[in-house]
Amino acid sequence: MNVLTVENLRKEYPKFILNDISFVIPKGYIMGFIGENGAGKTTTLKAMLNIISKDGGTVSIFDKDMDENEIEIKNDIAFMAGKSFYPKRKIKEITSVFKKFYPNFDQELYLEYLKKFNLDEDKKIDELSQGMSLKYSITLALSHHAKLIILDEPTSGLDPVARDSLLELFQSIIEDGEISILFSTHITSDLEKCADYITFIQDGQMIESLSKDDLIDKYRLINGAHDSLDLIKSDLISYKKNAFGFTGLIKTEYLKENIAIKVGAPSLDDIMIYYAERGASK
Amino acid sequence: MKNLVYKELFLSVNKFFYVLPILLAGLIMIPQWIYMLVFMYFFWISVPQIFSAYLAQQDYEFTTVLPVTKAQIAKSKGLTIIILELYHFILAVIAGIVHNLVYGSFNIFINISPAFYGYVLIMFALFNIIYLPLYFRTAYHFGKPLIYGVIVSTIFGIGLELLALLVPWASNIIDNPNILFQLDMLVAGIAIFVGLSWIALNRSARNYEQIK
Repeated sequence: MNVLTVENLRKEYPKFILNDISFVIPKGYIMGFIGENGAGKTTTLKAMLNIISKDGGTVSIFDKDMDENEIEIKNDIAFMAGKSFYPKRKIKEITSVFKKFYPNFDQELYLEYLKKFNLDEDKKIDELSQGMSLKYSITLALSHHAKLIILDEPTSGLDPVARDSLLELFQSIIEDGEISILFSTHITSDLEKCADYITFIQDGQMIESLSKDDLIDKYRLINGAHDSLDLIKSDLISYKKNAFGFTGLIKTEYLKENIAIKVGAPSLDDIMIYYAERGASK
Repeated sequence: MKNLVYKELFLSVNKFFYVLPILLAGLIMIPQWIYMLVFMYFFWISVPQIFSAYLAQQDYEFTTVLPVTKAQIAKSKGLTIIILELYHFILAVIAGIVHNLVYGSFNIFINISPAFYGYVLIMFALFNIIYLPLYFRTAYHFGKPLIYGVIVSTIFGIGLELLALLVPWASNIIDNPNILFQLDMLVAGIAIFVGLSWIALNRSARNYEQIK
């Protein structure tokens, strides 16, 4: 069962078009949503959730159309944008308002998570570190039994320890298979650690949406001498020349055996970088 | 909607804006003054501060993911402004009663009377119908909508005060001592306030829903 299905999502701005974005998230998995800065990740997330209007496409969450069941769906999801809200307010003040909107808010569970994350209800939001502030948002999400948690760049700005602890938390959240997570990031090492699926967009265009392993298997990083480059150039996503030859990214299906090149598995960074290189050279 | 208005009043609006109307109502005790100014401070101080705080506090980031519709969000914010206006109004009515007991009702500008409070409500209504729908075209830029709202409400409020001071025949109408006329003006003010504010809320909701 898919918890989220996005089909041909489209959003037009005068200087930017998000075009035909489609992906699905199976229940109980973590999907990383990657792309360089300005690729359209936040726009996609906001258009998906009707925070901004979309110009085309459909979004269904829990097999219900988002446009027709917006309130019902929002009861069961949580969305965390990058910045903290109400920085001068105490945790208990925000919670007292927040829980009024969710009939299924579980006070006992909320207190359990506060204790688990060492969150003091009397602290103001701007007294929390970025990592703790995120944990508070996640506490709110889990306390109203959100089945889909969507986070926009949750790890940017976190130190490596806080990032690692957050990623571990993500993994523990999905353990029982009931909750799914979609998070956007441009820090691909986060995804190596915890993502099951990856959706990659660039310049508002869909590049890939696959399981992490399939995505990496779909591409190969190659390097070779300059004279090999001419034989394979047209099949490459993009390439970089150096004094010794070239390195480039190619789809595995286009690999040719009779060319003298070294072949290796790319990292997610490599895939992103070579696609960005292609975009820049166009 | 009830929860959203509670959220606005408790979380989004700073407590200072509940103290300010008490201080402003005290200005009614200044003898022989332009009392319309008491209410205009709301447009000049409270409104820009409240709406800039929405941005500073990431209010829309919090509100738009709650299980509520866009129309409800716009209406709850508009309704909050209306509630704050009525709060100003009630405190000023109490201060006005005290003023008239202490000094009598005569004023060189508009007298403090039921008619005066009717004019105040019309001024609030004019501000609401201009400011709220214009602001909700972007739900971000409040500068120009505020300037337009302030210009129109100032022309109405100060214009009426100056007419009462400078133009005898107009003063006779505006400050008509007949209690029935004064009550009629108050009722007209209430009707215009309710009518225009209702239109303002609905237009705000429609504009907010149409934001690209």
